[in-house]
Amino acid sequence: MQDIVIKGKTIRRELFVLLVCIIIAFGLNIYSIIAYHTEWKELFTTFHLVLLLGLVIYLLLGLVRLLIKGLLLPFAKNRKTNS
Amino acid sequence: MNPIFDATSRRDFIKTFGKWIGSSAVLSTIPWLSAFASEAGASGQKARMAIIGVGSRGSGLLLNMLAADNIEVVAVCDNYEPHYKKAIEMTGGKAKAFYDYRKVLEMKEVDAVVVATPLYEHADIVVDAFSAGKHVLCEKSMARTIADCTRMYRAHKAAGKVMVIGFQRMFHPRYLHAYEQIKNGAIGQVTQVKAFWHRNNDWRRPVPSPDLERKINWRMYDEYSCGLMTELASHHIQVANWFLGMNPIKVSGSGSINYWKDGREVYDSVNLVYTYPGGIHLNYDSLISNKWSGLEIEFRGDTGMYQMEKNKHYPEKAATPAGIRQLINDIEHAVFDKIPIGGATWIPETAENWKGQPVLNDDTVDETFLQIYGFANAVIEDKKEIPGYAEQGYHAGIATLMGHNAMKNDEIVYWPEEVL
Repeated sequence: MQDIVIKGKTIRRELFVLLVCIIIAFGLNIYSIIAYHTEWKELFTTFHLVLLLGLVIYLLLGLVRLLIKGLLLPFAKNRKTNS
Repeated sequence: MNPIFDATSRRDFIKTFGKWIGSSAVLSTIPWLSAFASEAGASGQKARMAIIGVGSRGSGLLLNMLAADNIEVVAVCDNYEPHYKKAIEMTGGKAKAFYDYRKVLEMKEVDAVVVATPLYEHADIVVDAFSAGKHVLCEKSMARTIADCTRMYRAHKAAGKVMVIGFQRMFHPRYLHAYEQIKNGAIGQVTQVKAFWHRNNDWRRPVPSPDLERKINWRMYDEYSCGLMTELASHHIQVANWFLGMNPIKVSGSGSINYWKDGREVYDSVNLVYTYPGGIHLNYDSLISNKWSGLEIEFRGDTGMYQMEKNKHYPEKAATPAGIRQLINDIEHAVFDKIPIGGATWIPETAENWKGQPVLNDDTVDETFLQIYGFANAVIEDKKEIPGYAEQGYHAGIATLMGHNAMKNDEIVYWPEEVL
């Protein structure tokens, strides 16, 4: 069986993407507190929901990235053969 | 969390309950709880009590009396042989036993009596007990007639002894808590009370010989009982009067025997509308041919509703969810909801479909025990009355009989002027 090697660079990149997703979710929480006139303490009391939403965004983004990678795969192969 | 529910044993509970009452403002609005703020029970003294009538309800009361550490059961009485023997057995032969209640009343060592005989016998026994200088706890409902209720109340006042009518919900922490919340505006302005009690059985007891039919199944006969009204409705009518803080002005209703056509004289289906000052209504119905709805008393106001038997409080407007939940919900609707093309022009206003919140988180309490315990404390202190308590029983008894009379005579019955 072939070992799958995940490079440190990849892990750092994914963690960075996840962090960005959580920041986006946090931003959405701020937006919703303003838009729905709810209390500012929700920044803390609903933080578990923010983490969950960040994870959902990350997974959805992952699907989009996979799709894009899949679509670009033939071009990448061509480039490799030409070089 | 209400502090009275931190207790883990019955003794602890009584102690904590007493402390809670003594230290809170509850006494000003629910004065009869002063019986629990008393130290009488904790001092080791005992009320010497007798029970008259040891049938199904009576034996339940006797069990509670035997369990209370502030009561000594000194006599039991029943004129029906099986009940008489059962009472002796329950007390282990330690209490004196009688067939005739007058013998009990002659006993100097009896401070108080618990009366759990059939309804029509209440008045004579209770009046005699007061004449003999005893304190009285009488099972609900108070009496078979309005005149008898007044006779009992007068005897209580004249004797200067405690009278308790067995409406035990007045001691139930859930009811006490809800009463305070409603008083503090938890459901806004109370505009309607709805109560019902549904069962599905013939309500008969087995009779060993036909000549005992009327003695055992006294609930079936108009001479002795008002059936569903005195046996069941009186509980909820008392709670309605108590929570609203007033008595009904008038009542109209309709009753029938539409299912159990077995020679009974009391209705197996009753439907009533009581009107209180300010136009508040109590809608009440009871039947014994379908048990789907069970029993309930609901207090409805412009900002919420209480279901007392189910221990539920339903604010009319649910608490606003967190902003992020609303945002997710809105996105979900925007993405997944179908866009209707035409459709119904009217949407049925069906009931709210949410489960509400508990009035109290833990309310597994035997309120009958609490009532007897409080009564015993008052007896030990030889009080004249438990404040506000006798009137609750008296007025609930009157309102119950008004409902019965309204159905029986097919007329609107007004609150009697002669009621004290």
